[in-house]
Amino acid sequence: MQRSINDFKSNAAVILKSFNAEYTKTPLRIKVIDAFMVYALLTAAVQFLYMLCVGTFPFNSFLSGFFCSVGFFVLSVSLRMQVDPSSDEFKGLLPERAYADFVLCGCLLFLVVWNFMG
Amino acid sequence: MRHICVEFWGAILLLLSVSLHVSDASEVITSHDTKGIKDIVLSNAGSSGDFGASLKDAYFGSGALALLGATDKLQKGAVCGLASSKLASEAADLEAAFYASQIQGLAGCGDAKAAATAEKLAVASLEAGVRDMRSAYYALSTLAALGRTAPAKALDSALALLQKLKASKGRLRDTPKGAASLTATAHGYLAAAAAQKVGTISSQHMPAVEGLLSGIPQVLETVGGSSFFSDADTDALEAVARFVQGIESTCSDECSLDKLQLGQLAKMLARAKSAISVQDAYYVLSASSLLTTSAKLPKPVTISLQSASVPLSSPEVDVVVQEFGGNPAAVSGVEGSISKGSKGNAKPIKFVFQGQGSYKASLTGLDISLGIYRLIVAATEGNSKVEVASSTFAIALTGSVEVTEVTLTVKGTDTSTVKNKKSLAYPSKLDKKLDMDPNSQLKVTFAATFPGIAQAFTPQQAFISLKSRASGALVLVAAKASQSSPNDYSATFGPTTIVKQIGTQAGLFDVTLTIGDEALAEALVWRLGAVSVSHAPAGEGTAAPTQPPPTAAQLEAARKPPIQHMFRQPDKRPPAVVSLAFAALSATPLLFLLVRLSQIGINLKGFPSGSGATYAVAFHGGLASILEAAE
Repeated sequence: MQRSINDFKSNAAVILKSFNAEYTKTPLRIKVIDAFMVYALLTAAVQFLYMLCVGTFPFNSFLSGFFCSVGFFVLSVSLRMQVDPSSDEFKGLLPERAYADFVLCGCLLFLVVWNFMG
Repeated sequence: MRHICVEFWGAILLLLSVSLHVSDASEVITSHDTKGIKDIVLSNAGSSGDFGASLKDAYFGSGALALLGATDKLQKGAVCGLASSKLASEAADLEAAFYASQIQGLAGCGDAKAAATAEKLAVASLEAGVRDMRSAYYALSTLAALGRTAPAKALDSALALLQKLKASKGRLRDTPKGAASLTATAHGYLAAAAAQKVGTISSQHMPAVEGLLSGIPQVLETVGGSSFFSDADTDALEAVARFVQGIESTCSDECSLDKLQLGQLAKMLARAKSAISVQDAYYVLSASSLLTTSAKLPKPVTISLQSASVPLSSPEVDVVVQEFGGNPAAVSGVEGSISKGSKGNAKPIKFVFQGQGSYKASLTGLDISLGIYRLIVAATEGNSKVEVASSTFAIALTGSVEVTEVTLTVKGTDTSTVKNKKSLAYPSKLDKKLDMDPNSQLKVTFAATFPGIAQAFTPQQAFISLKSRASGALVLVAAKASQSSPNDYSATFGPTTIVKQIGTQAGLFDVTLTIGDEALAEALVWRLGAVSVSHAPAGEGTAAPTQPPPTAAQLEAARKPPIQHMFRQPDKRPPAVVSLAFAALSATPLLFLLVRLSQIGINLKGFPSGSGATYAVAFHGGLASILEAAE
């Protein structure tokens, strides 16, 4: 049992080390987006935790806040996919264009959320 | 073609007939109205009988009394004296001559001097040349009434006016209002008729006179239009009356008048119900009597129902067909049909002549039951059965109801225990009151039969009523028919029924069985006796009521309790410290973001400089403003 735990720890350390080594090669622009994605996820997690601990009241506000965070995360993922230079999927798409789409969708998301919040 | 016209007359021109019942008549002149008209004339005549020294009123009043057959009420000396004195005065004119000559004819004055003065005025007027049709009529009619003749030359000016009638295809159109136009036309007819009496009409004027006859249908078509008379035509009655007089005097044979047009005229005459002057009275009496007695126009036939209630045991309908004035009408047959309401299946019925205008029809074998029916009766004439009159009546086929026995059963509220049971034969009543305590209820059962009716019949009302002897308050309980046997009825009630309707009133109540229907000749009301009602006592320790319990009406009118608004309970909220803690917690990711961004070395080195900086600031400022506006 103790051995399997030690194996897990050593494997995890190897994975993390390898991940950090590779992540340092990631362009700065992608790292900024990643930071925003983690920020969005953490915010959603805090709200979800509040819902578990306290309750959903006021329900509209909870849904608005939670889905705003999730929505922002999804849009950020989309932006990341479109501006990632290692991806061939959106090769012909300018980063400015991807950013403009992100901004437009973000505005729309915040508008809907604000109206739904009540 | 004639029957609709006759229908109108049957409904409207009952001016002098005696209380004939005609259905579907929106406007009926009754004998009461006739009496009213007579009263108006006599009151205008005054005690001296000279109609307030008004020659015009004397003329119309004398004519009206003559038409009413009340010439004995006419004070001939007074009106003759009035006519003579007016003609003797210097102010006498053609109109006065006309009125005076007519009065002389009606009252038989025999004043030669006055007659000569009138003739002189009329001839002078004709020789001077009459300007309008009314003057022509007055002049020629004066001479005709006096039995004088007029020189051919004097006739020329009056007859020349008839050319106008011919030129305008029958009706003068140079008058602004419909009624005045029609009056002028009618005066033309009357003038032509008078001209034939007072002289020889030259060949020059004959086409104009003959043209009048051919123009009558066209005039009728115009007059019959709904928009011809307006409400502002206050002299419409004069126009119609003179027009009828003109037709009557001009037509040499029966005029081919359109029934609808004549109906329109008859409707106009019906306004006589509001006659307030002697003039109105004369016009309506004159026109209606001419319409109904002249052989040149079809006579109205009225159909009256002898009884609107027919017992189903001997279902026979009697109608009387009469002419105006009450004489039996000479019709060849009477037909009819009966239906349940206006949309029901009409079943033909055959009337048999009984003599004196009376016809009888049997309804036996028509498979009809009790109720209100629509009866249409039509009188026909000739072999081709031309309908000359038709009337619609509502008749009630009535029957009787019988209840031979009533059973009153006092049961426990569980309906299984019979505490008391009494049977009564009609019309006996309970010799001893029944007790109805809070745990019991009374059931009243009876069988209602309708003798002579084969079909099932459900009366409109079948109920038990309980009347409190103390307060007079009434409790009504409907009796329900059994589904298996429609004639068996039952009504069940208890103290709770009484409480619902009049409150907790106890004591003796009189029980009455009532069965009624509009088709029943007489309702059945059977007083069954009395029941003693008691209610459940109030809870132990409750104070006795200081006043009688309120009735249902009092409860209805009593002040209602104030409305208590119900609000949703607010949701449970967490303690403020928890909410604040989570608010702080939700801000921690922002700290992470800032730390992380600083870690990865984010900077603004790539931010445009120069003019590009302006655009970049404007772009980000725009975004910020959008988000701010959204919030």
